[in-house]
Amino acid sequence: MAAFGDYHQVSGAGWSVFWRISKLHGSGLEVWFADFLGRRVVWRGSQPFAIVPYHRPIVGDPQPPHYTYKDGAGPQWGGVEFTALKKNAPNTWADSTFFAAVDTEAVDVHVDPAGHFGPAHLTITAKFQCGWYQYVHNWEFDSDGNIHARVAMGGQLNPNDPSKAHAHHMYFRVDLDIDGFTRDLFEEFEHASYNDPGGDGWKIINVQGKHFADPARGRKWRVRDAASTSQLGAFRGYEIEVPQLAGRDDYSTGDLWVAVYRGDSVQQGDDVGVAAPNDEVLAKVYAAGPLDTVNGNDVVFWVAIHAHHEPRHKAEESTFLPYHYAEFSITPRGFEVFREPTGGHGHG
Amino acid sequence: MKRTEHISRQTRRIAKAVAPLSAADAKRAIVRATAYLRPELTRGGHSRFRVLGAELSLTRSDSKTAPVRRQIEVLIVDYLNRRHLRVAIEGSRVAEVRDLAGQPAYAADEIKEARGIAVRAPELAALTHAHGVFVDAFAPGQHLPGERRIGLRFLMASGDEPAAALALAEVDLIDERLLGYELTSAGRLIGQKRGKHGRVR
Repeated sequence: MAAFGDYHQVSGAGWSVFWRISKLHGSGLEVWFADFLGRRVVWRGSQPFAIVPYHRPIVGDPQPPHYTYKDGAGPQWGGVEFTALKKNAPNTWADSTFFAAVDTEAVDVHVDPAGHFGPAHLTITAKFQCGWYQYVHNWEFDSDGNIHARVAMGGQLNPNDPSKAHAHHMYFRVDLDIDGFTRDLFEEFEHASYNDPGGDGWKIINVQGKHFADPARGRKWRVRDAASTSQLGAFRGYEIEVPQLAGRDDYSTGDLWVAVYRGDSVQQGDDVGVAAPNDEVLAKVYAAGPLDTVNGNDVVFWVAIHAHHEPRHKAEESTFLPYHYAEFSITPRGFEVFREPTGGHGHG
Repeated sequence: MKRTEHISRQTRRIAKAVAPLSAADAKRAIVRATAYLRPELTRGGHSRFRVLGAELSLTRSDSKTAPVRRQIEVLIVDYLNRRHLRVAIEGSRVAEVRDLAGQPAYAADEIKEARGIAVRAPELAALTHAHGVFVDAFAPGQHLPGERRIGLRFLMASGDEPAAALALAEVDLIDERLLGYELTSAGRLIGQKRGKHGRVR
């Protein structure tokens, strides 16, 4: 067994999932081959990099002209790779004595039973040192078929100037593989008005590219099979809901990018942010080209979660940063097998 | 709960491919990769490169019905020729060699080497003798393909207080030299207490 890079299987809450940490790429926690109740749902999910712009001017780093880090896979502009920590490492700027020597020292797996207020969960979590920051990567798989991809920010404030506000733009890559289909369509939902018909609508997207969240219109997206439906006629697919805590900016320019699968060792975020600390490569290289709206595609999507951090440097965050979570959800639609069984307790 | 429960037929088919990477297979892959690349790694009879490591790397096959491809990924930094290389070994053959688009994570021994170069500066060396000082690496500035510069933050941890920055240094592992460093006011104070002074060339 290797110290890092192996695929480790865990199960619970109706799910079987493999997890992995690549030390060579410094790209955080990955989940692979996520199966729910015997059906393949995810080929691979990861959160390989972050873009972190600071308010300016600032003494020390991040440095001009961009005042922005690119962290994780392929670090740039003062950024740092994600280094796996022992799960019991303190929430601080941890030195190398707290670095995980093997991946199993880093990853925490929990199975929680269904309760009166929610389904059972399988959660896979690891934390990573990244300069003065710590990032917690967390994937939750629920017994009702939902997936929650989360990241938490902890550690300590910038020692050069703890008062400086900044944003964390955290990038997730998700390669859904619903029942092993490669004939997926990508669609965008909008709520236009309360007047039916036509109040709500799904639109098939025919080109790879960048998309923007719009809470005012209830905007969400889905990856769905081109043909298969439930018995009652609902297309089978997974919806992607992206609530945002902050907005886009010159460095993080979108909320979701739809692309097609081009391999597992290319287009993983390593080459993002080289020319400048921004996500331009996602739209110009990764998500470039048409989508086949008839036969479907092997769809991969990227999500950027935006969080603005105004430090509480004079009190609560003066010594360390309590972990602050942000997330997006992937929700099933059109699978009878995911219905809650009689008894009301969900799949335990 | 049984671990085989809930597994899809697609995942059952790849049971062999997801088996852990043995130390012997990792070593064989590294030997195979370096032997294959040897002519490229050598210039004027010299070579200077570092194998960062080997990890298992699964990927989809071109055909949907074909099995998942089990590869061993070997990453190599070729300091002499300014290249970062990925070699994929599949079975006993070299399946792919390509230049990495982004720089790989720093290896622990690269950070150790960079630290050794940095502390040739007496002011930085003085810091490392103080209690609670540790060094953290980062990627300074813009890294163009093939470059291998390491930034080092010299930090001091003390009790429950946040770690304090003492100095920032930048080392070029290709030229094996300290490009520059800067002490913070806290770093200067510690340097004075240790009674050591010096300037970087």
